[in-house]
Amino acid sequence: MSSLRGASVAAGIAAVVLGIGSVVTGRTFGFRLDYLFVTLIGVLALLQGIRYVARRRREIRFTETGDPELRYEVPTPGDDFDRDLATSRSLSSRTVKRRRAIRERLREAAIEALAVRENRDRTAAERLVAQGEWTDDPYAAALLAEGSVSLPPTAWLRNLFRRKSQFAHDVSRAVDAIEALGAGRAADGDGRLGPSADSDDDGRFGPSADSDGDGRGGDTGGTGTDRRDSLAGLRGRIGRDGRESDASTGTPPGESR
Amino acid sequence: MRRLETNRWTGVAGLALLAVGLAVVLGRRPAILLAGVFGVAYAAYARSGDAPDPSLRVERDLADATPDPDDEVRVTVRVTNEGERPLFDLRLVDGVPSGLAVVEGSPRHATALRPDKSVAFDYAVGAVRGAHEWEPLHAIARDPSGARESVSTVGSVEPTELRCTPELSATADLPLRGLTSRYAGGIATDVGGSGIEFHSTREYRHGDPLKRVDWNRLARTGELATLDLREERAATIVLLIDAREGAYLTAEAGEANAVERSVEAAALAFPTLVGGGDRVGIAAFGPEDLWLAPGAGNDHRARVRETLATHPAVSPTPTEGRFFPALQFRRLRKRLPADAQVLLFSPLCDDYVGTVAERLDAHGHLVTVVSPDPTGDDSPGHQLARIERALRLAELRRTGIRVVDWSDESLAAAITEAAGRWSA
Repeated sequence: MSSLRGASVAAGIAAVVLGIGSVVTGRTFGFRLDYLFVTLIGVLALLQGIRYVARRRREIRFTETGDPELRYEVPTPGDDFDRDLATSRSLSSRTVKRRRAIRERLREAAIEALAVRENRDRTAAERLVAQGEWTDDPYAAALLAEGSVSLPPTAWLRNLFRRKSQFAHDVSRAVDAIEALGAGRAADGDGRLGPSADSDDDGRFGPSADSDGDGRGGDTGGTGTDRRDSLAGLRGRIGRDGRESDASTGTPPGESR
Repeated sequence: MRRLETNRWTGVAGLALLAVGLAVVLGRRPAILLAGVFGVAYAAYARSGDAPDPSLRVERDLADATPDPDDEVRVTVRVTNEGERPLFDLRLVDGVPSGLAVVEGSPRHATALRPDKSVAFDYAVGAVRGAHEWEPLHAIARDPSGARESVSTVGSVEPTELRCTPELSATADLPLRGLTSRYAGGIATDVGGSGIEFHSTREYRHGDPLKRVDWNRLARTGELATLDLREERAATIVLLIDAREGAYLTAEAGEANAVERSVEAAALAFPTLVGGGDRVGIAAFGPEDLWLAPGAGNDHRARVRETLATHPAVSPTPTEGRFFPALQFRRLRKRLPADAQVLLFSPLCDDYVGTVAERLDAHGHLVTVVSPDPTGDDSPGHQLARIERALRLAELRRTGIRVVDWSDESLAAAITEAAGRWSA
C-alpha cells in the first residue's frame, strides 16, 4: 500500500467515523450545516456520482489467457479465399479489387481445368471462358465471362430471397462448375502426349485423384534410368518415358530397348 | 510482471455519491443518505488493496517423459507460495507446448495460497512425435477485492520436456519397388558385370566364375562364353520434406498437419528403402537446415530416427526464421549426390514446390512426390484449393514426375493405387 493511498484511506475512514459520530451524538464538530453548504455538497456528490457511473460503462479489464489446451492451429488451404469472399459484400474500391482478384483466380482455375482435363489448348480454353460457353450453369458462366452473359430472368427474384450476396452465390456455383469439368472426356492411358486423364468416371478433383499414365520404363529393366546418367540435364526424357517416343515411333510405352 | 486495474468497483463509488447527492437535492432525506454509506464502505474496501507480487515455485512432473505416439501422459504441477503474504485470488494457467493438446483435465487452476502452502493439480496430454518443451506457467493474482490484478510468468524449477521418438519399423512394407528398380537393392545399370539380369555375353576369359558360363551356348556350339549380367549398384535416395511455413496445413483442426504426415511417410519409407539395400538420407526444405547424407547401417538408422522425431526443421509446429528459397535450393543441389533420387514429401498447395521438383528432375535426379492431401471441400475456398492442387498434381504428372496422392487411406494403399497407374 503506498503511503498516499494509506493516508487517503485513513482520512476517508476518519470522515466516515466523524459523520456517524455526528449523527449519533447530534453535534456537528464545527461544520455549519446551513442550506447552501449542504446543497452544494449534494450537487457535488451528484455530479461525481454520475461521473463514476459513466466510467462504469468502460470495459472491465482482465487478462486474456489464450488456449493452452489446444494444439497450434494451422490453416486449411483456401482459407484466404473464403476470407476475401466474406469481406467483399459491400461495394467500395477495396472490395471491387478483391472481387476482381477472386474472379481472376477462378478464371485461371477454369482455363487450367479446361486445358488439362478436357484436353484443349490454352487459347481455345480462354475463349470458351470469355464467352461463357464452358459450362451450362448461367451464373458461373456470367461471373467469369468478359462482357455480359444473360442470366435467367428469375435471377433477380431469387436474389431477393437469398441470404448470401449474389456474388458469393455466383462464386460457389462457379467453383462447383469448375469441379465438374472434365467429367465427359475420353480416358487417357495409352501413351498420348498430353494431359493425363482421370480414370474415375465422375472426373472429380477429390481424393480419388487422376491417373498419370506416364508409362515410366523403370520397371522393365531400368533402361530409362541408366540413360539418365549419360543424358543428365537433358529435359527430353528420352528412354525414361515412353511417351515421347510413342508419338514419333508408335512403340508402346515401357518396352525395353 | 504486469499490473492492471480491473475497474470492477467503479460503479459502487458512483452509486454511493449518487445516493448522497439525491438525498440532499430531493429535500434532505436521511434514509437515502444512509443507503449511500454502504457504497462508501465498499468503495473504501476496493481501494485499500494493492496488486500482489506473487513469489511462486513451480514443480512440474511428467508421468512418462519418453512416451510412444498417442499415449496419454499425465502432467502434475505443484505450485508453492514462497512469498510472505498470502495470495487471496490466484489463477494458474500452465504453459502447455503448442504441439500438444490436453486430452483430460485442465491445465488451469484457481486457488488461494497462504505463505509456504502449496497446491497441486494435474492434467493429461496426448503424445505426438517431437520434442516438446513446456513454457512458463502464467500466474494471475488479484487483491482480495478483485480491483487490482497482476500477471506474471513463472518457469518451473527444472525445464520440462517431452520427447516422443517413435521407433522406425523394422520392415515397413511400402510398395516402393517401382521407384528404384525391381531388384532388391539396386538400380540396374547399363554396365555389364555380376548381377541378376542378363545383359550380354562375351568371350570366356580364364578365371571367369564357372557359374557364369553360358552352358546353353556351349551345348549348342561348343564355344565357351561368359554371361555378363547387369551390374547392380545400391541406389542413393534422399527423402526431402517440405517444411516451409506454407506447408503446415490441415483439413480439420486437431488433425495431424501436412508436415507431420510427411514426416510419418518418410519414417515409413526409410526402413523400406534401407531394407532393400539402398542408401537413404534425409533433408528438409524450410527455414531450418536439415541434411543427413545418404547412408546405411544401424548408426545411421538411429540418427535418422532421432532426426525425424526431434529435429526443429520438421517439428509439428512451424518454426520462426527467415527462409530464402533460392539459397536453400542451391544448397540442396550442391549437397545432392549426382546419382541421387529424390523422394519429395509435400502437400503441393502452392506453385513453388512444383518448380523445385521439376528443376531437380531436370538436373538428373529422379523425383517422386508423395503428397499428403490437406484440402477440404466444405466451402468455396476449400473446394477451389482442392481443384488447384489437383491441377498441380496433373501438371507434375504431365512432365513425367510420379506423384502419389495420399488422402485418408493408409500410405501403402495410396502408393499401390498410384503405382497401378504407372504402366510398367
